[in-house]
Amino acid sequence: MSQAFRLPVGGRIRRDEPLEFTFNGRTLSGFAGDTLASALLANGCRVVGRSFKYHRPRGIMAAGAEEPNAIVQVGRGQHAEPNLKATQVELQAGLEARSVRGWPSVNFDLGRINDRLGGVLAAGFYYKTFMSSAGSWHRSERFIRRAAGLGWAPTGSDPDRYESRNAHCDVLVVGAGPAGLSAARSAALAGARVLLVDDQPELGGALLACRDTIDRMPAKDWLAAQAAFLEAQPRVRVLRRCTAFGYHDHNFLSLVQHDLTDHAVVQRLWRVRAKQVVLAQGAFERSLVFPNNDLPGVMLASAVSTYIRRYAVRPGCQLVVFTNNDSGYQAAIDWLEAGGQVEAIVDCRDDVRGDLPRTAQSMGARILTGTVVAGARGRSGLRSVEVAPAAGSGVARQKLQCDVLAMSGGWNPAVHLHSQSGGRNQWQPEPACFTPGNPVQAAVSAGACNGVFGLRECLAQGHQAGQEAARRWGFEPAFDEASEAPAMQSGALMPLWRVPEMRGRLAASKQFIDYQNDTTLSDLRLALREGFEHIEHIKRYTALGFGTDQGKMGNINGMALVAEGLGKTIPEVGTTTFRPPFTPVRFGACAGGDVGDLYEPVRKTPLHEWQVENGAPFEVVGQWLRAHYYPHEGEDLETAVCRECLATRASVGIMDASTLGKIDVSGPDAETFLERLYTHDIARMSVGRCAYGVMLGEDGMVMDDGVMARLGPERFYVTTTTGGAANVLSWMELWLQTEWPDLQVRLTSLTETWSTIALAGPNSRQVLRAMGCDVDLEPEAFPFMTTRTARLENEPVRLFRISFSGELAYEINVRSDRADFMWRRAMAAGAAFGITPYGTETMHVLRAEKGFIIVGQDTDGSVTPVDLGMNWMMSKSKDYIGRRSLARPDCVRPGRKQWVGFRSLDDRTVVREGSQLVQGDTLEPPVPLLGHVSSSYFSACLGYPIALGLLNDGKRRHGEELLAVDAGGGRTRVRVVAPVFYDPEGERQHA
Amino acid sequence: MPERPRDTHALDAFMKGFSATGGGSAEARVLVHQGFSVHNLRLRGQDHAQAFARCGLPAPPANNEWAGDDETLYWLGPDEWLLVCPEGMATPDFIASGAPPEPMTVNDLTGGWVMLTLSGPGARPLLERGCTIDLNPAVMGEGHCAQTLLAKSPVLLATHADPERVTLLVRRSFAEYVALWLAHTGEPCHIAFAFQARHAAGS
Repeated sequence: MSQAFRLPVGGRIRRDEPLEFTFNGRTLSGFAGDTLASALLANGCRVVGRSFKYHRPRGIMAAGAEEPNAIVQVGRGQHAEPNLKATQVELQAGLEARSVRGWPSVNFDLGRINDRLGGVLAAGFYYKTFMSSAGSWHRSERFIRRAAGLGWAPTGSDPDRYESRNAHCDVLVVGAGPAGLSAARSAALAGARVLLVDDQPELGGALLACRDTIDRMPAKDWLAAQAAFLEAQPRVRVLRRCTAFGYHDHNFLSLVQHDLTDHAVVQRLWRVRAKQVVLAQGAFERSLVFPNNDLPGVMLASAVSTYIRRYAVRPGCQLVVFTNNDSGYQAAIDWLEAGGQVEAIVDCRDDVRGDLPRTAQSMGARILTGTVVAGARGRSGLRSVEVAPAAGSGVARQKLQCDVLAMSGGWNPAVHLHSQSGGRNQWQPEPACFTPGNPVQAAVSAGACNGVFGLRECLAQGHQAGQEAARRWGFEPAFDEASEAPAMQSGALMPLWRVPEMRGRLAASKQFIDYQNDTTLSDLRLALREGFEHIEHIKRYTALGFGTDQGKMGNINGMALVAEGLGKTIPEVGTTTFRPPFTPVRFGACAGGDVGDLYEPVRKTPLHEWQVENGAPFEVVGQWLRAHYYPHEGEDLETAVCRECLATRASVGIMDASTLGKIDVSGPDAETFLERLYTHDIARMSVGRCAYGVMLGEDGMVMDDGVMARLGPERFYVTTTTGGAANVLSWMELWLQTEWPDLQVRLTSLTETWSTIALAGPNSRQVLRAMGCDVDLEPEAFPFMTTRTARLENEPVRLFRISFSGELAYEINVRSDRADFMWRRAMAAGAAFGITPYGTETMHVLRAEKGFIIVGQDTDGSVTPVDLGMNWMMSKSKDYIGRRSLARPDCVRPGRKQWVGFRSLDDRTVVREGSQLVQGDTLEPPVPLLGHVSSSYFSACLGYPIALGLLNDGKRRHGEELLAVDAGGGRTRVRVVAPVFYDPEGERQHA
Repeated sequence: MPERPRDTHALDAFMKGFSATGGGSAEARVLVHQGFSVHNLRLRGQDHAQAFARCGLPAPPANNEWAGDDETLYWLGPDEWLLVCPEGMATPDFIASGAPPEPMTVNDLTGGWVMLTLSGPGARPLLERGCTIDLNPAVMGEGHCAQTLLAKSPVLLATHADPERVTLLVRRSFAEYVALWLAHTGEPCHIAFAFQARHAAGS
């Protein structure tokens, strides 16, 4: 396959590595070192896509991240990636790319009809059309998305692998152009740990297409020397193909790196914490606004130079340059050197006297000063331009044949990262651009991104920035000199935001500002006519600056034209907000390796293996896995739970309660501290006693509960709910460290150290005996709500005689690495009693039969202990957190929701949890909701369903009949009862 | 049925399922320690260096540093230390007797922690992927320790004179996640896991 536009020599492509690839199904060839864009241009592909709204043919305009048109889908199947810019896709063998729009093809697109309907599809089209009638969007969405949408995402899970890295450095240098390389070098020479990142496969930035000399050697030789120097430094890390896309607080930056060398990982997210940052990302060239400025063949002047010098592609034969500054002349010089023909250089300035224009002129280029391109002509590509006087009467002077127009409207420093870091930008009238204002973080901008465009100045400023950054972090800069490039004379830029209005056909032609969103000059004017004034509103109305390129090329033009329309200055209009990411980042890169099994830690108890062996399904509680139930052959959840409940109440059950939080609270002030946190009287607890405790938030609402035991005068063992463990410890530490530093209390988490095996049921005492328990287990010696240290199976354990089931019950606390052993021994010892392991579901049923709450299921942060009927455990003789709030008017008002039980009238239906309680049978709106069911189970030992919940004024409604309505519309008649269904006197637990 | 050991390790199941790759040529090796005891020591408002010297313990010179060889003392916070010793070795008297010098508070955490030692040229780069603190040997060098996160698990991380060696102390219930994370994340660079039968300091 011929590459008709490839130059015979030159460029940085590797001609000994030809590569084949396909574009829209056609097989084409390029070379290693090409981008997809340069290879397409080499093959003469002028039309690479269709525009968003009008389906106009579009070609490659830029050579970097600012490219608005060449949006492609790369790869196939699950590996497909939509909406990449061809200018940023490195060419690889076998690469498959397609245009994201164009039906039936990019060269013949039926959607082109939209171009004629421009009046209908102008700014605000979606708002005007779809806000008026709600249904119309739903009817049209599918069609519109296909017509206007970008690429398509694969539907399956992403098969690619990503990773994330954390990095630290003294000086992070973003961008490896002349300024960045100089900065990295001087910072490294000062001894700083340097991280240099650049988005290209090779270092150099603008130098990759540069024909100047630095330190009296060709730029490419200087570049090679710098790269070699940096690579050799042990304290310098260089990241290529790596884009700094986010600048966050505390000099924390995120970078994304494409990896083509490591086939296991496609993208790597770097989280960098830098002491100092040097921003040297360069600048983006601005487009110019004139009729039909989107025809394929209209390109940025700098892109034309880049394609010629870096990729050895001259993308046409006849060139016209349209510029308002000197840098545009470079394209003409490069074009002529590459053997092309330059029709004319159209310069809107009258006075042209810089070095570059002089060179161009000496090479024979014709310069038309005081002239503008009044419009471009062509169908599927540029054929000619018309030129007219800059101070125009609106009459075109002449027509110039050309197939490429190189335009330069000046430069926009890439202030994105500076802005993201919180810095403001200031308008510089002289080069007519925004430059970074004072940095607000430890950063400094250098080179073109700081509004300095000459090579010589960039080298000097980079060198200084690197030294300065190193010095600020305490390094003494070395005595090295900045590299030097020859001084250049250049004339001043003349701002040109649009060309004079023309008469005739060109007057009706579209003038694009944001190419990717098809935002035109007339769209902006329409928005202004309709009353939009703020740039952020105008952006949202016209889509200016949206899209994958985020308006890198045309945004400032848009803002300047808004300023013109409003009669304001550009700084008065300002820019829209710069937000991360600078360029699109895959979700996969953000997720990194935290997917699949590593999505979240799965915490397992020491008894997990036994539970797996015994076929328990697991329930996720917080990060923990807890055995849900233990089905026998052929049992479902319901039957297994009934069996487990009955066996526990009749003989003995065993449960893994290891996930409960356990905190050692020690110190001379431990009692005082707990008095302030829990509602009950701690001082009354003698050593060896246990007590149920409830902790309130400052608002008086129940926050957590658990049993605590007093192990000594100055030592307590406090348990928390499974999900609340970490929060309760933090809450305790918060009060200790910030409010009561005078209290001598130490908190130590024992959750992981001790595993808890609960034995419940009338035969639990017998099981302990069979395990060789060495303490007296008789009720008088070891009564309910006490704790003892003991030996079981000759292992030291701590026994608690506490009960969450209402049965005679013990909790064995054993060292976690012996828990499996202890559990297996308990199973063996309990075999004679038919010991039955039970899971969390049975635990819930057993506690519900007793009316015990589960914090977080039965409470929701709006429930006081009084609402729960827990007045008995609220001390009147002391103060505690939340007590004051319990006296607030709303907490004492009559009619608050209160804790009650429910029984289905038919004694068969298990009410669905979450059901709302209403009065009467007719559900005629408005239906007052009286409360809800928070827990509901079938009670095997009672033989009927039971439910618990919160009901307005519930305590006084016992006996009333209500209707429970669930989310699916199911209705059950229930009677309000007391919230204790089983053994209300509590005889069994005291047995 | 053969008698099961009294002690089970949090990584028993993981180690059974993990097919070691790389072996001797692994870029990172993970040693899973067994047989050590852990105690949490709390001491405030005292000359702790003196207090520890009286107990015969090596006192780390500064917060977030550790000291010792057989018995290792990690300084975790203003008034908090972690003591790790080979189990069965003569622990400081006050631990054996259960009567620490006033006003020290001691909690036995044995069984609640899992200790891993990573070694090899791939060790620090591997940790760098999941740990946000600066692991450069010049910053985290000999005798340093930090309580931090490895991926989504809290860990105590300690560095040695040998920059290719890092010790991780992980809470028991997080151990399998951490091991899985190390195995998955270390995959491309070949990671090997092995149990170390008895805890030996300095290994």
